[in-house]
Amino acid sequence: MTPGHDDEERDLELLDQSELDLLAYLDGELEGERLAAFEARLHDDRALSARIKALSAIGGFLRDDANRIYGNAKVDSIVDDVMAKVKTQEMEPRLADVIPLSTHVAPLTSRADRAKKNTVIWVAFGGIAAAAAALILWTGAHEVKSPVAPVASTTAAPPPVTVVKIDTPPPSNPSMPVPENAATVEVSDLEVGSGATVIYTRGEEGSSPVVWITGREAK
Amino acid sequence: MHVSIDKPARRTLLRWIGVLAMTCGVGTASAAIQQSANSTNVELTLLHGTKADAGAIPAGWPELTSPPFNAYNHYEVVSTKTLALTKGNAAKESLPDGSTLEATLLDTNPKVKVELVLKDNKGSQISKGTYSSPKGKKFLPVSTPYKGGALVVGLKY
Repeated sequence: MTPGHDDEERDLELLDQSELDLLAYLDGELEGERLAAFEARLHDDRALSARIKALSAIGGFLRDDANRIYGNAKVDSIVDDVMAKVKTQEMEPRLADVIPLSTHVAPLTSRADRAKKNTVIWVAFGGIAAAAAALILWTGAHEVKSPVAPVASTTAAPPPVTVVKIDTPPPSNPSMPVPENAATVEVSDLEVGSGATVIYTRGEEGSSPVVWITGREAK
Repeated sequence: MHVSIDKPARRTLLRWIGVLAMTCGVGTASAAIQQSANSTNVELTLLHGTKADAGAIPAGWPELTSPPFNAYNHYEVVSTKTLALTKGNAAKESLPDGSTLEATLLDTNPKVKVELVLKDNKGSQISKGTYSSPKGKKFLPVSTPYKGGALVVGLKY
C-alpha cells in the first residue's frame, strides 16, 4: 500500500455506503445486486432521484467544458513558456563562466551621450588646428619683408682682380685648433680676388673668416 | 528669421565644421612648414668704419673691436635691411661703394646656408663663398674700402 492509497481509502471511509453506491452508480461501476437495490431505492426515493439528476447534470457540464476550462487555465502555455525559458537560459553563457577582461568596466553610456562627446572632441580638435594655422599665418604676416631697394651707386672703377680659389681656409694660428660647434659660422668654397685677403677673426664661439678687400677704393 | 535645427543635425554640422577646420589647419601648417624650408630672411647691416678721435661701436657688433676691424675705431650703421631669400633665387643688393652683393639661399637645416657673391660695379666677381650660420648669429663676411675707411657687411640669418 502506498501512502496515496491510504489517503483515498480513509476518504472513502468517511462516506456511508449509500453515498458510495451513489458515486458508483454515477460512474457506472455499480453492478449486480447492489445495482438492483440502488435502482429500487432510486425509484422510491424522489430526493435521491433529484440528487442523481443534479449530479449527472454537473458531471455532464464538467465533461463538456473540461477542454475549455483546461485551455482557460493555460496550463500548457505556462509549461511551454517555462520550457522555452529554460532552453534560452541553457543557450546563454552564464555570467559565472565569463572571464572578465578588465576589472575596470567603463559605465555604459547612451548613444546620444557618445555622439555628443564625439562632437565635442571633433570641434575641439578642429578648433585647435585652426588656431594653430591662424597663429602660423599671423606670424608669417608680421615678419618684416622689406623689398630690396637699390641704393646709391658709384662710378669709380675698381682695379681688376684675379680670382684665387681657396679650398681650405688657413687658420690664423695653426698651433691652436679652431673649435667647431653649432654656433660657429662655417665657410666653404671661398674664392677671393687679388686685392682681397681672407682674415680669420677669433671669437668666443670660434673663428670666422672675413674677406678684407684693400685693393680698391670706390669713394 | 529664426531657423530651428534639431539636435542631430546641429551635431552633424558641428562635426563637419570641426573636420573642415582641422583640414584647413593641417593644410596651412604643412604649407607654412614647406615654405619655411624654402625661404628665410637675412638681415643685412652695412657699417662704415673710420678713424676718429672718439671711438664708437654700434651695439650688437662687438667683433668690430677685434682685429682686423679695430683698424678703425669709429663705426656707424649706414643701413639695415632684411632680404627675403628663397632657394635658387639670388637676391641682389647694391652697396654704397657701387659693388653688388648677391645672396642665394642654399639650405635652411640644420643651419642656414647662403652663398654670398660680391661683384664690382662692372659685374666682376670680387669674392664668393658659402656661409653656414645658425639662426640669429651675426657675422661680418666682407669689408671693402669706402670713403677713406671701410664698408663692413654684417649679416644675421
